[in-house]
Amino acid sequence: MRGSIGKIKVKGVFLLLIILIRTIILYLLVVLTVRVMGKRQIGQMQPAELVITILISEVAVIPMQDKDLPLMASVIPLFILISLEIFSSLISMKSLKFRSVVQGNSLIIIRNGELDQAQMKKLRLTVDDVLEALRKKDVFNIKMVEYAILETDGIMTVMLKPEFRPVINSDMKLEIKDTGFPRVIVSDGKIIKSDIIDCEITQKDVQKIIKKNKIDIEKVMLMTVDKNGKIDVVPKENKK
Amino acid sequence: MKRGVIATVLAVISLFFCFYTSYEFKASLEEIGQTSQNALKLFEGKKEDEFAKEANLLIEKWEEKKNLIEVIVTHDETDDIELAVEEIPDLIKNEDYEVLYEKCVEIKNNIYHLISSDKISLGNVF
Repeated sequence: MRGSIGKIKVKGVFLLLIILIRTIILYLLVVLTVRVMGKRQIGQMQPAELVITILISEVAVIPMQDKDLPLMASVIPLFILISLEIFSSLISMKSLKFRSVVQGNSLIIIRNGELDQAQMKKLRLTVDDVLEALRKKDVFNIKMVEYAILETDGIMTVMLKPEFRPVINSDMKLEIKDTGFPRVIVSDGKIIKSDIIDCEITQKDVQKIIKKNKIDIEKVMLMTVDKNGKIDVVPKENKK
Repeated sequence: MKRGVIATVLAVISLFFCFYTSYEFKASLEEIGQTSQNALKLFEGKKEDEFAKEANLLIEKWEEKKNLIEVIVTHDETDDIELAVEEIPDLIKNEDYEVLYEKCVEIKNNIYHLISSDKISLGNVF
């Protein structure tokens, strides 16, 4: 509408540039927000976290598409949502009452093989919902369950009756050597120093292991070392 | 603790931005509104040369303050003012003071509408 046709063309280019810049800023802000919130997945989120996640996606996307809306109308709500989420989680750590209000409580649905129908009614859970959740835990008979608890994130935790629990090493009185957690020492031909620091072996030990086994690091795809010094090496495939 | 600091910093930035921009926004709009009102009074007092000067001052003030205003309100709300301001130089050049007067009225009304629509009130919040 303004000026000559030439000017309108220039305006169009700026419009796309504005969208590009806004998208980059909002992407960085949303990544920061999610990083600050933590690493939980949607299925593991507490109700408050789920609400924040939905709000963030809504708040961030509107000024990305609508150039007429100021970016600050999205940035300020994002900042406030991050602050509220962090303050809420900090208060939850200190106050049981607050935690109970914001996150809710875990509730027992099955006791000693019997459904707690009053709880189910309160939670608006159908028998089908409970049976489906049990099947997902490889339990096909309610009578096998000692306790089934509906957690605050909506996931059902199941404790089987003793006679249905799988046998574990301590039942058999077996002595098992603790191998610990195998650490990645070499990944895609590169030594991972951060994992060596976490590990009980030093970088010198790694060099010794490499020399002793005559390993060419550049030809190694993956090399792990466990607590007992046992090495596992996956060589790189030869390029055709 | 680290997250507590991040939360506090972000909350302080947000609050500062909200209060500072609200204060500056109101002051800027009132200044532009006052200039447009002065221009209208000069036209009504048949002082056309001074009216033209005040209209030029209105352009200057708008250009000076518009960046802050556009950071806060949707651009739809400022587009009418922007278009009216852009027409002023041509109207002064052609000495078309009747239309210039109409444009100043339009700017004043839009400015006072912006002030009233951004006040903290039950109507605006809900």
